[in-house]
Amino acid sequence: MSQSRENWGSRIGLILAMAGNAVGLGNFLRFPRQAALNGGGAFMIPYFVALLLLGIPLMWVEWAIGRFGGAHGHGTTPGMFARMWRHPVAKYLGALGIAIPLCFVMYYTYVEAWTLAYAVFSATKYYWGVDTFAEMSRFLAEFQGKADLSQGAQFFHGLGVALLFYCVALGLNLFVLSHGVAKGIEKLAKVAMPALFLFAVVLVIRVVTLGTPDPSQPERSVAAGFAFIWNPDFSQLKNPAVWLAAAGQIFFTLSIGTGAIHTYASYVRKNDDIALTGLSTSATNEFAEVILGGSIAIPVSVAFFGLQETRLIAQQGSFDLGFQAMPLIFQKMGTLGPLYGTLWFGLLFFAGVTSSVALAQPVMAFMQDEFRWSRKMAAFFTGSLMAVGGVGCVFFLKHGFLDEMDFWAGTFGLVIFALVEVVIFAWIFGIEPGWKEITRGADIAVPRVFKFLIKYVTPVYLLAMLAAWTAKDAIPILRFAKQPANDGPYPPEDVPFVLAARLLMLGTVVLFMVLVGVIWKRRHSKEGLA
Amino acid sequence: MTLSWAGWLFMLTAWGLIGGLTAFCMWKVLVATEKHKRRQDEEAVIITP
Repeated sequence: MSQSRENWGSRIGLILAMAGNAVGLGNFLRFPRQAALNGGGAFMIPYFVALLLLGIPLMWVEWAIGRFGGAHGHGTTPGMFARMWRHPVAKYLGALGIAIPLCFVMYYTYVEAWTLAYAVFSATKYYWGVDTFAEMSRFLAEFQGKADLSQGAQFFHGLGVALLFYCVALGLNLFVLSHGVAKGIEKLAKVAMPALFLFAVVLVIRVVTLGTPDPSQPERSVAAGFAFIWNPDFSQLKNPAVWLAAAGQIFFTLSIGTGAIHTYASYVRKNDDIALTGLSTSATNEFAEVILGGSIAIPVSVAFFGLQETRLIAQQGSFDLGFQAMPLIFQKMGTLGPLYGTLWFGLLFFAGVTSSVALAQPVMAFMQDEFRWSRKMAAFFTGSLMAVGGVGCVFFLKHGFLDEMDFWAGTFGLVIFALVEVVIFAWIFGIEPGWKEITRGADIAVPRVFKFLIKYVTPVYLLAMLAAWTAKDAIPILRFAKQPANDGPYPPEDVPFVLAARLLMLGTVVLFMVLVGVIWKRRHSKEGLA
Repeated sequence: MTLSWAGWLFMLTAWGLIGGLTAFCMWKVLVATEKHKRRQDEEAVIITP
């Protein structure tokens, strides 16, 4: 490959960018809810087991595949897989590593836009005075275009505001992407990640010093909130769903199976360490999730609403906690309420934007590395594709468009892709050369037990997860018997929109398989790459 | 509802493990970065006549 590729500017920049990829909304909204509802402290047993047997091994596999591909001039998995498995199918399987993160980022950018909007609403006290759950729910529903406006609008008259914030979020993503790896993504991470940690620490300090906000209701305290998250319920360990939830949480939190780690790692030099750097990013992510994420939303919610109400909010979903309960709480926090609200949604936005640029980068890298497109042209192409799905999410949210994409691209697709990559890495490329890839230039001694884990335990763990999710969710969802967001069947009027979302995802996969075929015919086949 | 002794145990163990791992990694990164820098400086001295 004659064309020179970009590299990270500094090691700390790489760690922050990779940690930014991993730290997302799930660290602050999904984890505390999962822990509280799945056995409290006991949840940490399957959580740590999954981290050790699934998360860390897969993270090293992805870093190794990425750096290996980068050394051969490939920033995305079609080229990486084709180099590791000299079979014509490999490159098409690799196309999933571009299509899945693209489908993911299509809707994720819209969720990110909500956090930006609510940061502005908090700073300007736009929702101040909306002080009941019912009203806050209405506020969110009108903002998202889910409310029935036949009786008149109370807060938003249409989707204009949501669309405006979506355009701002999309524009910001494309601005960063168009400036490249060192000057765009790395610079963003160097600003956003310290800011995110600073905001989180300020919020944690405020939460733990809240005590009992209403002395007349002593059961509503921060201590009770921590008890809700951490008091172990060992009976839950017998429930396979809890082990599945913990494995799922590890998957989402480390951003495994998205193709983004491969692309970021492809910009690491051939002999630079990946073992310590990879472990550092995972540790940073876990710090943000377990220590900071677990100490904000649930404890503060219990302190203001009590245990029963918080349990109900948590059962309804992560977004109910983040976008309905938290805005109500900020209004009760006195003169600094708008500041805390801005910090909360600001940190969610930073967590979101550092993840979304990572999810969009595989498309950028593919067009730049394989088609030799300029960065600006690749950014325009990436942005156009993101907008197709994003606009669909804005306008058809109430018809389940976003939930459908979240399930197939953001949940199920990740496990399938992770299984494909670990089989190619450990069984086809071979665990011996694979282990050399992981340990080359390593600044720490990687325990040899991980060689065994990567070859045998991780694939079996993934197969078990895939089998459970297929039986429990994928088949009923595919047959329209159960919606991803709840257990009820799809309303008939939503079916065309859900089908459109599925077609969009399928079309994206096909598009990248065709593009892979085109570039192989044009360039790589002549170089002897299958 | 208050934090039980088991709740404290789980919370502090999880925080300790993760906080400890993060601190260990950051310390190793700093040491490794210094080592690489020193090696580059030494190589530069050898190359320079």
